[in-house]
Amino acid sequence: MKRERVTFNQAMFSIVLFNFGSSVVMGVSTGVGQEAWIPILAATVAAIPLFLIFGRIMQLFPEEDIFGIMNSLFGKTFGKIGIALLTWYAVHLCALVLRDFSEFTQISSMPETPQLPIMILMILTTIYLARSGMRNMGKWSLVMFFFVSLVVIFTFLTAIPQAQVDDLLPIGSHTRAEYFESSFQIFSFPYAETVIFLCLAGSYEKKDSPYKMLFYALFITLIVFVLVFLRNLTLLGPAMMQTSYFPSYVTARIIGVGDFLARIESLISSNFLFAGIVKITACLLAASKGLARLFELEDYRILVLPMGMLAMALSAFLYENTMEMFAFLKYYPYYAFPFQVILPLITWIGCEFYVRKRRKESKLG
Amino acid sequence: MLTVIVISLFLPEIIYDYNTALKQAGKRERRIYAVIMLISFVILILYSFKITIPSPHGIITKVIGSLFRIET
Repeated sequence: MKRERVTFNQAMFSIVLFNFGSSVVMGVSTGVGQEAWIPILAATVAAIPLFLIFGRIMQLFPEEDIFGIMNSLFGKTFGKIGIALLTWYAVHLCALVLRDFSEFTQISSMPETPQLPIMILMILTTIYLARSGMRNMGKWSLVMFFFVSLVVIFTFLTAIPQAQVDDLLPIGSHTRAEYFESSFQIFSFPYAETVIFLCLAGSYEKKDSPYKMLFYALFITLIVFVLVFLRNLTLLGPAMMQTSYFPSYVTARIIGVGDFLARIESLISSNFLFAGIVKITACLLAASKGLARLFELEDYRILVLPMGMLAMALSAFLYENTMEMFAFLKYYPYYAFPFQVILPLITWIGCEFYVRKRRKESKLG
Repeated sequence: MLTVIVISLFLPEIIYDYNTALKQAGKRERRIYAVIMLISFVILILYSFKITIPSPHGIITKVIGSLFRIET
């Protein structure tokens, strides 16, 4: 496999934009309305041990991605099963994000246009970026992070005059089960989806701490999610926020600065576009790398186009309508858990045993 | 219309790749490339004819629904 090097900032901002992905537009609203800040914080805390595991795997095998690690730890058969599972997850996630994007575009601005042309435009862009390599995705993320953050900060500040702070109350009006369910939802979408970056590991600079990279990304994502949540809640109110499919977009439609600046919702659409490109590209890269490893191919780049087409084909028949898409969000955490938590956990345990064994052998030798 | 879009998407892509990346690729790469492209093409053509293909989500939601109590 050919190696590309990605700098610390490029990798970190890729993770941040990957996490923003669909969440910035779909909002991080959950079933607990005005108290969604509690599950956001809980999910962030729950993500810490998972990110520690990810960081540890990257630290123990700085030159390898998770596919290579699985191959050398679990042998050909079990290693390939693990690779196949993660590759499927990457293709599926790519299809899901692509569908989110086409649904959003159709609902918000092109109700008469079929979704396929929208998907084609998006997937061709991401295929181009993925074929250009990890480094270019990193450069894109570095530039776009500032744009996306500026939009979030701008919409947050301009929303302040219309904000109803009372909407944050009451606190403690939901059951523990509801808080848990919401936290689990945010934990798996988007935090634990960062597992995709284990598939791209091996490209990060050796001197950079993977822990630092992951936790800086987690911290920035948390701040943005809280800002997005506060903006959406204080402008829409809990009921409206929960019933809206794309609360951030609806919020931006309300925001107006004096008489001269209104209808800034296109900024929100561009956020989805720029962050969505990173998320789809990362998934495509992971899927192509996984397939290349599965069939023991030298270069993954040739597989980017077929994998992109496969993801698009999959996304075309995933759901029949938007309601089905949002209904699947309830099932998603349970479905994704084995890919996001169990597979990395098994790999991490295997890594620790492998490294200890090697150390013992080198001491004896 | 969608069928035309699908064909006009795949045709230039394959011609372009055939003249660039696929030229230097090995037999194995070419085979995998062809199989995945063919699967995607067939699915998208069926989609363009509005022939419904069972979504994997049906199976996923059924399995998860039988294991956990999920209220939608």
